[in-house]
Amino acid sequence: MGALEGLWLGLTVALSPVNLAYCFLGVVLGTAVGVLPGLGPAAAIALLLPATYAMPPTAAIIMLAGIYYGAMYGGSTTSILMNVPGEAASVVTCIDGYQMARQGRAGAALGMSAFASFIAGTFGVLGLMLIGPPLARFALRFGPPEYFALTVVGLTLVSYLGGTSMLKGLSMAALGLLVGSVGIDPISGYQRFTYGLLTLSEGISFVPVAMGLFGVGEVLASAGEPAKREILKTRLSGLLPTRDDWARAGGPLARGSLLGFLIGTLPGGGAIIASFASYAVEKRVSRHPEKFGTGAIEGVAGPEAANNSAATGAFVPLFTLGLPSNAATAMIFAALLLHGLRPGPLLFTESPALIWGVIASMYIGNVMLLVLNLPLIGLFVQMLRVPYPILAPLIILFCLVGAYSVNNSLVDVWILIGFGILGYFIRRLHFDAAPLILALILGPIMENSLRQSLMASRGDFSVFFARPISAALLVLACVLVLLPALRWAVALWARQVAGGIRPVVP
Amino acid sequence: MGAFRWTSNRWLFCTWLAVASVVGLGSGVEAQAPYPAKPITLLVPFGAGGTTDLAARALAQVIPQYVGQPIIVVNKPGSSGAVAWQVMIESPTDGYTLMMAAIGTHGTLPAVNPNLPFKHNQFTTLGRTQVNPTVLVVRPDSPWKSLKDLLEAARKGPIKASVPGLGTMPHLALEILVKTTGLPKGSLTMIPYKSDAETVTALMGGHVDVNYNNLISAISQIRAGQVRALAAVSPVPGKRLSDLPDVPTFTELGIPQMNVVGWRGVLAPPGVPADVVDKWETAVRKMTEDRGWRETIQKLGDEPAFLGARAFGEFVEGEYQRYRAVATEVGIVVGR
Amino acid sequence: MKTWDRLSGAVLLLVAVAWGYESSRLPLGQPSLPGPGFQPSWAAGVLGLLALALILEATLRRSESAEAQRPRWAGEGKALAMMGCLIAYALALNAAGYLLATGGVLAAFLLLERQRWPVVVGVALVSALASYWLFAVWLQVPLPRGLLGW
Repeated sequence: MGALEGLWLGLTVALSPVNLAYCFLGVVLGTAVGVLPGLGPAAAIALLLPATYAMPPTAAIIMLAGIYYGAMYGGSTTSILMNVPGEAASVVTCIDGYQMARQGRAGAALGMSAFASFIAGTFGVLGLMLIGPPLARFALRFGPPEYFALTVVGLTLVSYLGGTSMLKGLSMAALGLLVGSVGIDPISGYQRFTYGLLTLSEGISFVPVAMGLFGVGEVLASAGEPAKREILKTRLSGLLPTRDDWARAGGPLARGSLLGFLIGTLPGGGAIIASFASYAVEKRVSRHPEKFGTGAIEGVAGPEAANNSAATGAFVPLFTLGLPSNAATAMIFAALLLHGLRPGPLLFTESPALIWGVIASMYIGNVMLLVLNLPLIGLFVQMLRVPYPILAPLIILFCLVGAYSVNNSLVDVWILIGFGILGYFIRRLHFDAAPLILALILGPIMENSLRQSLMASRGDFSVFFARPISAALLVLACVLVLLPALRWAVALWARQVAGGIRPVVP
Repeated sequence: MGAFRWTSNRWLFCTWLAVASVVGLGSGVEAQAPYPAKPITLLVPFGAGGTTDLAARALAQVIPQYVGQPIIVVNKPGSSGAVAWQVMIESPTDGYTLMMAAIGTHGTLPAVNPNLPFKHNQFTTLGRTQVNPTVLVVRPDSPWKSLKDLLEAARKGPIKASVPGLGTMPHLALEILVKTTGLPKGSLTMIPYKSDAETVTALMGGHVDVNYNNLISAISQIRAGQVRALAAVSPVPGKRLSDLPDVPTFTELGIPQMNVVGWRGVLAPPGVPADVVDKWETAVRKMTEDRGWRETIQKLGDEPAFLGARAFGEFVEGEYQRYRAVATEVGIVVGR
Repeated sequence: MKTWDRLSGAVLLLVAVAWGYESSRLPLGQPSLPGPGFQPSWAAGVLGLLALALILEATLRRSESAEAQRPRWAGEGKALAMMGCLIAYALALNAAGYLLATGGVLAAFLLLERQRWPVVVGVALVSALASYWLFAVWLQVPLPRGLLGW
C-alpha cells in the first residue's frame, strides 16, 4: 500500500468520532504530563494502560501515542516559566526560554515552542509516512562504533554550549562525565562510586540533576535579587512571536526538525540528545552566538522542533521493525501486545487500518495540540503575575515532588538538592550547567559503545575508521575541533594583511 | 491569652485523641479481622512499563476477586531489583507488602552479585504465576541453518552474541550452552546491551551474530523473516512452541540443560504468617485458572505456570543454584 | 572575580584529585578493552588539567571591567538558609511524611521571603495538599507516609 493510499485509509479511521475523541484525550493528557515534573510519558502510559483494555485497539493506541508526543508540547512550558524542565527533552529550552520570560517575553517563547512543536511534529509524521522503512533500515547500521563516533561529535559540541569561558564550559563537561560514571559498570560489573548505596547502582538519574541545576539552582541564586521581580511582571503583552522572531526562527525550525527526526529514528537516539544537538548547531551557525543564553528565540525554536520530531521519529523503528527505542515507545509496544497485536513490519499488512489510523491521527493530534496550546499561553503567562516570593517556593515544591516521583526514591530528592546547590554556585561563579548535563547523558553511551565496539572487534581500533558512518562522524568531530583554530589562524593572517604588515616569508 | 492557651490545649487534646483513636482502631482492626483487612501493596522491582510491571498490573486487575482486597502496584526500581527487595524484607511481615519477583531479581541477580545485603533465600514464596518461552535467533542471511551449524562455527572461532546486560538470564543461559556442548570457554563473545529490544536491534543490524531472547521480543521479527530461530525453549515439556511449530526445542536437540525459561511469581518478606501464605497460594492458583488473566499474559508472551508456595520455593532455589554454578565457573560478577 | 575563579579552580582540582584517586582502585583494562576505571580516570585527569588552566588563566588575567570583577553575590544568607531548609526537608521526609515535611519547607521558604503569616499558612497548606492530592491520590505516586501515617 502506498503512502497516500495508506493516509487516506488512515484518515477515514482517525476521523471517526470515537477516535477523534480519544486522540483529543490523549493529547490533553500528554500536555498535562509534559507540564508535570518528574512524571514522564512512559510512566503516564503505564498508568493508563489498564484503562485501555476495554477500548478498541486503534483508539487505545491513538490515545497513548497522543500522550507521548503531546508531552513534548507541555514539557517546554515549565522550562520557560520556571526554569524547571517538565520533560527530560525540554532541558535545553530552559537556557533561552527562561531568559526570554525574564525579559517579559514568555508569551513569545511559549508561542514559538508551540509552533515549533507543531511544525516539527507534522514534519516527523510526514517523514514516518514517506521514508520510514528505508530510514529504519539505514538506522540499523548504527552499531556501537557509530554510537561512539556520534557521542564524540556530541562532546565536541560542548564547547558551543557554554557561555563566555571555554575553560569553564569544558570543566563542567568533565565533571558531567565523572557524574555519569557513577553506578555499576554495565560491561565489567564493577561498583563505581556508589559506596554501598543500592539506589546509586543504576547511576545518577538525569531528571533530578537537570531539575536541580536549573530549577532549584535558579531559585537559590535569585534570593536577594529584588530587580528580578519587576522584570517578571512587566510586559505580559505580546503573547505571540513577532515577525522578527519568525524571521530568526525559520532556519532553526527547519534544521531542528530534520536533525531531530534523524536522531530520533536511531535506536538509542532520542529527544534529549536531539534537542541538545539542535541547540549547539544553532549556536554554531548563528552570526550572533553571544546572544544565546540571553534569550535568543533561535535557542527555543530549534530544540523544541528537534525534540518533537525526535519523538515522532521514535515511531519509525517501532512501526517498521517492531523495535522500541525508548521507554515511551516500549510502552506503546506493550500496549499493542496487550491488544492482541504483534508490533513489527507485518503490522502494515496485517492491520493496515490500525497503523495508518494511528499515523493519520498524529497529523490531527498535532493540529489539536496547537489549537489547545495557543490559548493556554495566555493562561500560563498569567502565572507570572504571582509574585516571585510566592512563586519561588512553588517552584521548589514542583522540583521536590517531581524528583521523588521519577523513581519513588528519596535518593533522587538528595540528588536534586545536591545539584541545586551546585547550580547556585554555577550561577554565582559564571559557570554553565548545560555542558554538565550533556556530558552526563553522552558519557555513559560513549564509554559503553567504545567498549562494545572493542569487544566485537577483539581490540582492533581500525573498526572506527573502517566503517563509513563512524569514520565520517569522527572526521566531522575533528573538523569541529579544528575549525575554531583554523578560523583564528585565518583571522590573524587577515589582520596582518589588512594592517599592511606583510607576512614574513623566510 | 488564657483563652488562647485553652484553645490550643483543646486542639492538642483533640488531635491527640484523634490520632490515638485512629491508631488504636487501626491496630484493633488488623488484629481481629481475618487477613486481608486492607489493600495490599505489591512492589514492582522495575520501573513502570517493563514486562514485570505489566505482569504485576495484570495480576492486580484479576487477583483482588480471589484475595478480597485491592492490590496497589508500587514501582521501586533500582539496582536490577535489589532496591525493591531491600524494601520488602524491611517491611512488616503482616502480608500487606508483597513483591512481584522475576527470574532477574531472584534467580540471576543473587547468583551474580555476592554483595547484596540479603541472601537469595531470604523471603517467603507465595506462588509462581507464569513463565515465558525463549528462543535463539540468527540473521536470515546467516550461513548457520541449525544449532549444530552454529556450534560448529563457534568451535572454530568466537562468534558474537548480544545479551541484555551482564549476568542476565540470556547471558547465563548462553554460558550454559557453551558449557554443556563442550565448546571452549569464550567461544561466544558476550556483548552487553541495555535491553531485550536493543539486543535484537544489534542482531538485525549485523553488529552481532546470535541472540538469545524472550520469545515476545523477537516473535514479530521472526514472523517477518528479519531474524531466524534456530532453537527454542518450550514451557511444556515435549512440545514445540505453538508460535514456532518448525523450530526444534533444545531438549529435542539433545541439550535439555538449556531448558531455561523466564518466570515470575509473588513473594513476601521472610516470616509472614501461615494464613497469608495459604490465602495467597490459593488466590494465585485460582488466578492462573482465570481465563481473562490467562489471555492477558499470553498476549504479553507469557504462559500460565502455577507452582504452590513450597514448590515455588524449591524452584527458586534450583534456579539460583543453576545460575550460581555457571556464574562462578565463568567468573561473572556484578557489583564487586 | 579573579579570586573566585582561582578558588573555583582549586575546588575543581580537589574534586578531580579525589575522584581520580577513587578511580585508581578500579582496573584500567588494556588498550584493547578499557576497564571500568578508564573513563573516570581520564575524565578526572582532564578535569584536573582544566582546573589548573582555570587557576593559571585567572592569575595571568590582566584587567577586568568593574562589572566582571565581582561575582554576582547577593542574598547569600538567604540562599544558605534555603539550602538548609532543603537539606532538613530531605532528612525529615521519611519520618515526617510528605504532607508535613512539604508544608513545613514551603512555610519556611515563604517566611524567608518575608511573607505575612496568613499567606505563609495559606499557601503552604493549599499547595502541599493540592500536590499530595495530584501525585499521591491521582497519579498513585507512593509519597512517604511518615510515622503519623500521612
